[in-house]
Amino acid sequence: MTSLTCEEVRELLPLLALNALDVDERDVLEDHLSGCAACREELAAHAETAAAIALALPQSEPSAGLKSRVLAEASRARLVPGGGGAGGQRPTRQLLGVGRFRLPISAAGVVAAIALTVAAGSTAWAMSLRSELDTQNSRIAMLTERAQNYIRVTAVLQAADTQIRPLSGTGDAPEAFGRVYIDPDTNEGMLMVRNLPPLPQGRNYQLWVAGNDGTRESAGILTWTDKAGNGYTFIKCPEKLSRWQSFGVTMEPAGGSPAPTGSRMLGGTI
Amino acid sequence: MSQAVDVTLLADEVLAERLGSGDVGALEQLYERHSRAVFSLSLKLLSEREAAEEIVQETFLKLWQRPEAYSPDRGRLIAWLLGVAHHRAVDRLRRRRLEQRYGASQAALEPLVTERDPVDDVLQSLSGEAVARALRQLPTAQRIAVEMAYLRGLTQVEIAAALGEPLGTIKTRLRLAMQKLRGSLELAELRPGAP
Repeated sequence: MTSLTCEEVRELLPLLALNALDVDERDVLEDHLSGCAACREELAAHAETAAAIALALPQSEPSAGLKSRVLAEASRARLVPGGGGAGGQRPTRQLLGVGRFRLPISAAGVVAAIALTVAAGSTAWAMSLRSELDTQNSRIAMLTERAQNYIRVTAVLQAADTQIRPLSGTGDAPEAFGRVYIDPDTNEGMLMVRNLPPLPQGRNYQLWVAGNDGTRESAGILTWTDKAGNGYTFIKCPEKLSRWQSFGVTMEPAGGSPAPTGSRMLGGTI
Repeated sequence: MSQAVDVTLLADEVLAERLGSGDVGALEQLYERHSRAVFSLSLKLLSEREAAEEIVQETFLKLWQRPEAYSPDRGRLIAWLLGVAHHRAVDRLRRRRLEQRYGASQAALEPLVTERDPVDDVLQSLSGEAVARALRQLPTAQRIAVEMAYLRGLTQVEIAAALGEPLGTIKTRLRLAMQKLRGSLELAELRPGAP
């Protein structure tokens, strides 16, 4: 997704306030918001609406000790270089006790302050970075799966006798098209699709090979597409390719089905 | 800075400004006012007191360490705090789901939707009369979408998959629901600046 107009952004702001967008969409909106005061104001109104729902929830008390933990952590965090706060000029002055947090200026005091800083710094950094780590771990898991797929697909495309079969969209996905690349020696290959409806969570695309006798066998599962409905995956044809007459692609529950249950969205002859 | 000021009398926005000069008393007062709301939302999302308390701590420490991140012209402080907490709690929820997906059998993923009727869930849990009334006025499908997004932390894509509806339909439902809620709550004069 590239840059958006204010009108496009405002369509998505209610979803941003509800936190219903994925990370990529959120990033694009935040880029726009950083430079658009009018859209920020609109987002604030939606955030108030979301907050009203939160404020209407049954209220529960956190444990009695939480307040003292928060305040103690806050006091320590202000001693940490880079610990934040307005102005951004605090680290050296506060570490040495100039200003609000006066520590004795002595060799022992400075050593103690440094020791405290290191200990408190670790905790403060861990707290502030945890949310970012959560987000990045999600991305890493997804990208690892894609990278593994990519390595297998690359190996298939390097085969000397790879054959290519086109796939065309059906009435359920008229804009879609795709290709099957397959090595007849190993019966392994790659499915590439374009412009299919993007996969919702819990659903996969499944490639089928069909014989003249009505037999349908799975040849591979595509577990993800991008937002434009593009994707690729490694496939393996059961039996020799010459045994089959056509390909078909259907949307199925995650993990695939033993036989097609969804409507055919791509098809092609072998 | 005067130490004689009674911080209990100061508005949130004034207290937030005082955080920049390291006023721990201002932070304590803001905690007293808003920690319950932040904790309650986090608990609703995460269903674990310990995890919810961590979100409370992270939220108030973020305000303390970067008070300039909140600007009064972007709404009330409580809305900002709840937004930060929601963001962090939902990130944790999504990470949990991802860990289930990659660390356990596929069966562990299913289903995203519980057997309970989500509409009953939200209506029974909300104690704010005006909000509950505003939600009741929404079409059922819109109400369910809002509840799944905001109180269960599902993305629009996950909601579409769970309900078996097109993504565009869910997007429209969420947008319309929020517009209607906003209008209803303004009419109920819940929000500052409402007509």
